[in-house]
Amino acid sequence: MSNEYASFTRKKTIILIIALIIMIGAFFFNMFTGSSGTTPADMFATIFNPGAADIKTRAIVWDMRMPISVMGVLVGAALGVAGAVMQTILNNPLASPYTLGVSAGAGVGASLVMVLGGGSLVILGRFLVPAVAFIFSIAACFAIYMISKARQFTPSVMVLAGIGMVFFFQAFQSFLQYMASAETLQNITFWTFGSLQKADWVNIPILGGVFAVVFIIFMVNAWKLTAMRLGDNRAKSMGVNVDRIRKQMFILISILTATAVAFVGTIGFIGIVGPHIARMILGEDQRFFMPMSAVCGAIILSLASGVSKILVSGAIFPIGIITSLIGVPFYLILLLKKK
Amino acid sequence: MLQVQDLKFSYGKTTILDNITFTANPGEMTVILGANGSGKTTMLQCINRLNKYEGQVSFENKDIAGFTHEDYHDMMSYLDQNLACDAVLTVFEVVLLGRLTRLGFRVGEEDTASVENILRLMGIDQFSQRGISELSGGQRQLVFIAQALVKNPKLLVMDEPTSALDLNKQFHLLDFLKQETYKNDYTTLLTLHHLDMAAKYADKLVIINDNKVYAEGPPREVFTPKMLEDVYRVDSEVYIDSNKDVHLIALSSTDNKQEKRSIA
Repeated sequence: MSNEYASFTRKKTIILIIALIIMIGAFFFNMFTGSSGTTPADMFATIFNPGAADIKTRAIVWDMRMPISVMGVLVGAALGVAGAVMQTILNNPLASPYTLGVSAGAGVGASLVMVLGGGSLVILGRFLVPAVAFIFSIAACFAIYMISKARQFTPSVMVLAGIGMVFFFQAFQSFLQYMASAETLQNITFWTFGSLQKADWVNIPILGGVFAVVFIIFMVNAWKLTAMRLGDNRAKSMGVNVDRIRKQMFILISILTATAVAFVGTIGFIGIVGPHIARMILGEDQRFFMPMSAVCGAIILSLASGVSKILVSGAIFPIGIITSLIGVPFYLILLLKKK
Repeated sequence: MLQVQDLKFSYGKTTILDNITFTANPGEMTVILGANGSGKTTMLQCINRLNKYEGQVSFENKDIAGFTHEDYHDMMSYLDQNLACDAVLTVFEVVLLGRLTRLGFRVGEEDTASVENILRLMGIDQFSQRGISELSGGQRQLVFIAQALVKNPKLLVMDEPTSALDLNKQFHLLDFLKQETYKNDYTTLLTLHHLDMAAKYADKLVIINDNKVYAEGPPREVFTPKMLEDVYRVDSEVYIDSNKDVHLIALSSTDNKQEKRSIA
């Protein structure tokens, strides 16, 4: 039987590696799509030997395609793993940073800056929108945290507080849109659709760094999180300090999600579906479930980003729409195929 | 040895446990009995440190409040009554989690061997790779019992370990638990609903009634028609067979008798 468990674990590792290879494929699909007419061969040549490429190709590859593609992987992975841990600590498959108002908070922050004219400031505007989006996103988490603290961080209170946040921030968002000029309203709408276009070599290392630190802490706690899937009392009886872990994980999820949505806007679907697909394929041993959720999130967002560039010739279709349009059918097929 | 001294617990103004005092010895099965709502589960939860209580609970002469959360749960196992579970985990993974305080990121050979051993001993190794949520209530109960035993705890606390099992499996399980308790010197504390089973398997009984310990001792001393009338409100006959095992026959509820009297 030990051999059986060893081969079971080996099988999961192989599936995870295959998913990683698919993720790399999705990354290159995102790299190769676009309206510039650069061939994949030119792309590879420019990636591995940038000095030999002409300025235009170098700019397309290194300043446009590469940041967008790297950001796609990072944001997808961040939202995927954040959703996975959120679902685990709240014992609720519908929980995600999106359904709990973390993204809605970011939307309000970004909209507020745009309505007040901060977004159009020459240099500051570029940083002001994500910075305020981040602050509002953290504020939404802080509100959920404080409400939950009064009720010993029970999952149901956290979910209900989060739903309250969604409605509150949506109302605030509607108010700001009502107040906005036509041009600002358009900017707000595009921001809320989500976009990888603002990816650059400044915000990528920030998100990459946050993701790396948070992901390592998640993995260190993998067994404790797995135990929490058996219910609070059982996890406590196994030696897990459930309240402390739930609090710590919630703070980490908040920081990771707030950083991701501050740079790319609200991309909703991934935090729910990435973990669902991962769970269907590998189960809930969190040592595999969390990385698989990250990889599934990265695959979905990279594919969606690629499709968004080829759907309408010469234009980039909003990615938030695509994630749902290609993700939901794929998800439903998996759901129906599951034995 | 587990020593419970003047244990008190209340929900708001409602007293659930009042000055509960008893001991449970290593190598013995101590069975807690009492009517519905008498506070048996609440008491076990206090011993599992899930409830804040007054009084003192000591294990091996040390107040359990003095242990760190991890250290305490490394030496004790607790089985709760709840059998619901929707986690997407295999039986092997669920039982493995019983060794959580000792698990490294990579699962060691000692861990897998322990899981393999307990599944085989309990005769559920054929379920090993099945999903926990696919199992019946009784099968799931056996898996959670295996999870409680897999770390070889010094203190084993089980709330209704036979509630979902058929009669045959109840005998098998209690025989097995008794054997493991003797062999490994576990201090085993459990609640049971079947009084006959309690009489057959308990080394010691602790009867809880009206928030207090009504009686404590071996089944032969504790099982009396008077106890059954006072605690369970039933008329009964108790007899001891040639093997000196205690048996009881419950005849009728004393509530019915009172009703008949009042009708007459």
